[in-house]
Amino acid sequence: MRNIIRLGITLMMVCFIAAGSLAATYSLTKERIALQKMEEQFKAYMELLPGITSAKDFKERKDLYPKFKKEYKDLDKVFEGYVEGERVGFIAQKIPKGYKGPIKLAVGITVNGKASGIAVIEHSETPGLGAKIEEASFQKQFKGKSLSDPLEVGEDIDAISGATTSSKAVTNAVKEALELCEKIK
Amino acid sequence: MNQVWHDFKSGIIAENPLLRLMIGLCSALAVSTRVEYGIFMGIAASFVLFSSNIIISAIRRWTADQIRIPIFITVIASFVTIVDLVMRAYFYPVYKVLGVWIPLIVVNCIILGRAEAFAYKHSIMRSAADGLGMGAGYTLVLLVMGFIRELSGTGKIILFGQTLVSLGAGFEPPSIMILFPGAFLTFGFLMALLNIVQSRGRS
Repeated sequence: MRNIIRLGITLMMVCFIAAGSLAATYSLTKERIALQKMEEQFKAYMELLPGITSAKDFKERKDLYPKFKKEYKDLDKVFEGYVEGERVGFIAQKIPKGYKGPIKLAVGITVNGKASGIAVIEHSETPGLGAKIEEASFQKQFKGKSLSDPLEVGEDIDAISGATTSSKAVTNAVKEALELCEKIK
Repeated sequence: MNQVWHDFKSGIIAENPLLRLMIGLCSALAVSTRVEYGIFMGIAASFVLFSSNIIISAIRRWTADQIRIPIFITVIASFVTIVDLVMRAYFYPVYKVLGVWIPLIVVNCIILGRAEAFAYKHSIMRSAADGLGMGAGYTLVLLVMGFIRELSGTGKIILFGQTLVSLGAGFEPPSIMILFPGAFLTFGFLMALLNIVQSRGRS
């Protein structure tokens, strides 16, 4: 019995020290990690709206969230992009449900309501099937689309074979993003 | 001092963790597609090996036999998490490629193996030397495999954005070398080569 207590206390001490050192490392690296993630996100945004060269040129429209997050449940973030003080377009980031999990998707839209491109920021779709939403051959189909296009899988968008659900989720999100920008522009 | 040097040296050739002891192969085969990944994976694993060896050796007097494995794992997992966080903060692009293999260092046989077989029974100095030697041996094999696979599979070696070696446009790189079969082929040939060299040395 005495032995068990002694062993328990040793283990507890080890875990205590381990947890302490991990907490210290975490608090030291926390900000850098968040910064890295932000930077990566903005890098993707910059590719969607050509001409923008700095994260500062994006203004987040937080004022829109109370109204539009009710209407579009999967809406994540909305940014306006500026080049030399002039608004050149929007980034609508949505998190629609894919086949396996949420797909974090950024849609770039120009001021005249055309999709300038899409970027998949995060997803957990099946490798080899749904994961192909990351590929340029799928993504480039959305370039130049506007609300006057049908934006339906099987009509003007080719689905990834074997991954209709993922393809539909992305297509639908792009369509909704265009609708949203039509309302705020 | 001689003993410490011997402990360090044996990890590189005589007891090389990959080619001789044949442990921790899984991650080595997976990340050896490029020299650059080998460098980062090697440094990460070596740091964990070195630090956990020192700590486990330092607390071995208080570590009762019955609870040594949970203690080893706690120590190792802590260092792996530290590496994971630091790499995510400062080497994000590489971290994204190495991805799951960094947290998986926890279950790398080399580290738990050296804790159990060496650090638990030897002094701090000798355990540190063993950790460094094993880490160097692991990194060395990763670099050699990465060099062979990257050069033959992509036709050139790119290190930190700089093209070091290029085989030229006339060379059609067989992509099998970058894929999994290439890892097994390269590893098999390296092991055969080491066996030949060693048996020559003996006779």
